[in-house]
Amino acid sequence: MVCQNCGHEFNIGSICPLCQSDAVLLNKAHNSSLRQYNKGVAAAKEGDYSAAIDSLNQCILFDKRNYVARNLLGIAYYQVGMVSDALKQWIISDSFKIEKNPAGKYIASLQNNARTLEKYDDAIAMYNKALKQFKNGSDDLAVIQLKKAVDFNPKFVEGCNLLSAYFISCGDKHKAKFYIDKALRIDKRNSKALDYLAEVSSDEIDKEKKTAYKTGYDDSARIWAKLKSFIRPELVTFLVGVVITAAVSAALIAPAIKDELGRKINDLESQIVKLEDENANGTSKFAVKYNSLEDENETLKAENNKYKAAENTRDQNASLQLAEVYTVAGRYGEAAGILVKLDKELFSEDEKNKIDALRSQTYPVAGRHYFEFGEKAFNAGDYTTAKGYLETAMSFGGKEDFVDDTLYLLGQLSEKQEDYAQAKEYYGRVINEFADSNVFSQAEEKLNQLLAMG
Amino acid sequence: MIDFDEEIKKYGQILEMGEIEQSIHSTELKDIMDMLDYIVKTREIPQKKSSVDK
Repeated sequence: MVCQNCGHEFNIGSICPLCQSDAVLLNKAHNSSLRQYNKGVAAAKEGDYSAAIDSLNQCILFDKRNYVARNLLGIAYYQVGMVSDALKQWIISDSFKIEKNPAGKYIASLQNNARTLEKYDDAIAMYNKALKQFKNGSDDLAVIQLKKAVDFNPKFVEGCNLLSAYFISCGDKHKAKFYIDKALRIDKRNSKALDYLAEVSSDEIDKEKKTAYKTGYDDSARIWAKLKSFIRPELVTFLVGVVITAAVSAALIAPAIKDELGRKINDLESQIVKLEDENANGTSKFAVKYNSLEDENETLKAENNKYKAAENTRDQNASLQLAEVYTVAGRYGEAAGILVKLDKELFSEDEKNKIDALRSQTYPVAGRHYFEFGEKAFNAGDYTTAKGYLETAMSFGGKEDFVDDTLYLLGQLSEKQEDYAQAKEYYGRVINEFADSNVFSQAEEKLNQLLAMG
Repeated sequence: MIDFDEEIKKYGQILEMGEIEQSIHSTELKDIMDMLDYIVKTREIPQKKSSVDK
C-alpha cells in the first residue's frame, strides 16, 4: 500500500508507519477527488461553468494539492467573470511548485493584460457596491453600477443575474430577458438564470420550455427567447402602420396605373390599325417610298436602253462603214463577216439598200472561200474545223453553186459524228433544193442508206 | 413575480483583487485529508491520555 500523504510504501496495517496517516481513508478521499474532478471537466467542456465550479471546489476539498483541478477551477471562474477567484486558484496551484504547472502562465497572461485585469476588477468592485446599494434601498444607483460592471466585463454572469432579478421584480420582462440571455450564453445551465427565465416565461409554452432549458440551454430556445424579446408593442404598431400605408397607397395608385396602361394599349392598337390601312392602300411611308423607287428604276432602265440603242446604232454604222472599206479593198471574207452581223432594221432605207448590195457582192465570194477551206479541212480529216468553215459558208449562201456541195459535206460530217437525223436533213435539202446538183445522186444514195438503217 | 429582497440574499460579495492574499491566508488550505488527520490525531490523544491514566 502507498500512503497518499507521504508516498511511503508499507505492507502491514492501514496506518502509514512513517506519517501515521490512515492510508485507506486517504485513498478513498483521493478517489472521491478524482470523481469530482472528472465531473468538473465534463461540465466545463459543455460550457456549464457553474456546475464545473461546484464539482471542482468539492474536488479540491478532498485533495487540496490537486493543482490540475485548481487550474481548471480558475479557468471556470474566469469564464464567468470572477477573475479574482480565478487568480486566487492559480496562485495556490502555482505555490505547490510542481513542474510543468501552467498556473504560472495563466497568471502571467493576466498580468500582461493589466488594463483588462483592472477593468474586470473594477467590474467586481462595482457589483459589490451595487449589492450594498440594493440592500440600502438605492436601487437606481445600484442598477447604474451593475450596468457599468457588465459593460466592463461582458462575461460577468453574476452581474447579469442580479440585473435580471431586479428587472423581473420591476416587471420589465424585456430587459430581464436580455440579461438572462446574456448570462445563459456564457454559462449554459446557470441555475439562477434558468430560474429567472422560467419566471419571465409565464405562459404555457414557456413553462414547457423550462424543462428543455433545465436539460440544456439549446440554441433554438435561445433564439425563440431573443425573438420574443424583440416583439415589442412599438414595433408591432410601426409594422401595422407600414402595412396600412402600403395598402392605402396601392388602393389609390393602382387604378391610375391601370388607366394609364389601358390608354397606352388603345393608342398602340389604333396605331397598328392605321399602319395596316396605309399598307393596304399603299399610302404608308414605306409603300410611297417603294413606289417612288420603282418609278425611278423604270426611268433609269429606259434611259439606259436608250443609250444602249444609240450606242448600238453608232456601232452598226461604224461596222457598215468598215464593211464598205473591206469590200472596196477586196477583203470580201472580212466584209461579209461584218455584214452578216448587221441589223438592217436600225438603218435607213438607203443604208438598207447599200447593205443588200454589199452582201450580194461579198457573200458569194466569202461563202465560196469558206466552203473551200471547209472542204480542205474535211479531206484532211479535221472534221471540227471543217464543220466550222462549212456552217459559215452556209450563212453566206443562198442559191450559190457551192451550197449543194456544202450541204453534202455537212451531211457526211454529221454521219461521221453519228448524228444521222442531221445528216438526213442535209441530204434531203440537197435532193429537194438542188435537183440538178452534181452531188444529187450521191446525196440520194446516202439518204436511202440512212433510211434503210432506220 | 420574485421577491427581490429575498432574492438578493442569494447573492454574496465577490472576491476582489486586493483581497486575494488575505483570502489565501484565511483559508489555511485545509482539505478533507487535513480534517481526517486532525480527527485521527484528536482520537489518539484521549487514548494516550487514558493509557497514562491507567
